[in-house]
Amino acid sequence: MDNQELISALADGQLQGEAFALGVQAACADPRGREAWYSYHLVGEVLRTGKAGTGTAPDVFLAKLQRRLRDEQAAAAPQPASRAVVLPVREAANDWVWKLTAGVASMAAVVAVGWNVYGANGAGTQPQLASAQPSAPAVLEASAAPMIRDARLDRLLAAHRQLGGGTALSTSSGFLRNATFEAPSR
Amino acid sequence: MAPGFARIAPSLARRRVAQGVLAFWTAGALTVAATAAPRAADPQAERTVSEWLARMHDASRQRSYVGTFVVSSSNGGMSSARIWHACDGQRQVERIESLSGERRSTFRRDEEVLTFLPESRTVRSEHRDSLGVFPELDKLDQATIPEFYSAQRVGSDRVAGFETDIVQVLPKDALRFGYRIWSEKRSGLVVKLQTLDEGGKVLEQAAFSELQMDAPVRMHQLLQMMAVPVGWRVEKPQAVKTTPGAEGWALKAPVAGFRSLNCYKRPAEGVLQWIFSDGLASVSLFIEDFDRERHVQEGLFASGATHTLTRRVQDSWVTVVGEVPPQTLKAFSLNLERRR
Repeated sequence: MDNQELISALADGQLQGEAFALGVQAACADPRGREAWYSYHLVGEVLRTGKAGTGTAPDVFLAKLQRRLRDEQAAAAPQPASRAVVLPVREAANDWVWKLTAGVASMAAVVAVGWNVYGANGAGTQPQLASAQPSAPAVLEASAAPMIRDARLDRLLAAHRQLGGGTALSTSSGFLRNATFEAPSR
Repeated sequence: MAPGFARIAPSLARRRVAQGVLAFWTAGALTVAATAAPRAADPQAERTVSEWLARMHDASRQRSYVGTFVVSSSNGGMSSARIWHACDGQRQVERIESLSGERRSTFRRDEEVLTFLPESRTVRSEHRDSLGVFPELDKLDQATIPEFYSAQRVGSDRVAGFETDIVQVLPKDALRFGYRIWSEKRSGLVVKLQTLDEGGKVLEQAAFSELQMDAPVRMHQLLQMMAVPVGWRVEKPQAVKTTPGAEGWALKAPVAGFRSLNCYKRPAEGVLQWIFSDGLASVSLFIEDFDRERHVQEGLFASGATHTLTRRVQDSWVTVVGEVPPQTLKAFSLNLERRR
């Protein structure tokens, strides 16, 4: 088994004992191993659920972004070179201002991507606002802005289903309803 | 009589017309039952809400069955599962294999519940106290359920190939939902259940689409399947029993019909869970420290029959969850107070 196969088997949870140790070693050894480890998980998730919820590995994403920023900077740099006076300033800027800019831009991009992923998840699972239902009485000062249903709320709902079923119907249909309906908290 | 009858009227109208004389007879029987509550000759017409519920509960202890169970909610969600249920009059074992969403198998041996999640090779092991409380609920049942709910047999129907009685369990106030229950005629088994809002609209529906009664389900075979495979991780949600008083919480006034059942500390989530039940619906109050960053949105939302309300109470953040109308959640959140 080559390293890629080892990492694949590890991601599928098929390795035991010494093979497991080798797999972990292969996955941790270098950036390529780490990228493979991440990719196999992504592929697995897409195959299972039909969608990718995890996005690109952070270090891969950042490395790509910084490379692109460097390329753009290299392309932009020769233009002002005709003005001799400005050149030294630009040279100096290349050393640290660009690094700083790239750093800030990377952070901003990560935040933006994170925000989008969060927003997309929220929209996908977002339940109906009760205020939008004509049947719900208008007794509550429910805000007009939709409340994002987050993972934490899902855990509380699961806890309610787990311990809150003390009713006369729980042994007949209540438990079946909960177990059928339940989305396990990931 | 009039409001209750109005609620069932739309969905049953066509069937009523089709059934002609039978419909007329049913309406007549209902009117008699409602006005004078006499002991009618038909044994099915005179069962009280407690008797109906006890009959449904007993059926799940006496009968073995295999079937496909479908749950759908008013906001479009739908899930289904394959069910195996075995019992010997004392113990119950159940296997629920999800057919929708993430793959999972749930096994229940009385109050012990194992959920197998093959994708993450995890088994969640839980003890559900609430499933064992029915003997205690018998008392609650006698005292509380008839005070807040009434039951009427409103007709017959065929569900999953079985003849059933349609039993309407309606609340007597606005703090709880109503239910329409299809109970198999001979055994009493619940084969279909609808949760209804105050206007009679169906919030959630659960039903067997296919059912095989008295199927040869072997209890020991199901028990063997509950063994945790080698290499799987076992997760045990931690819930430590406590009392609201010991945690410094109380209700200024009780919410009519709801009795405090249990109170747990959940260290993993950092919350206190205080559980109430009126015998048919349950409400959980989750209390945690207020966090300016996370707890920004007070509000209410619904998913099927389950409603959730979030609200800041003094220096705490309260999330109230239950299969009850919004006003009940509001009553709980307004009555909750910190005693120390």
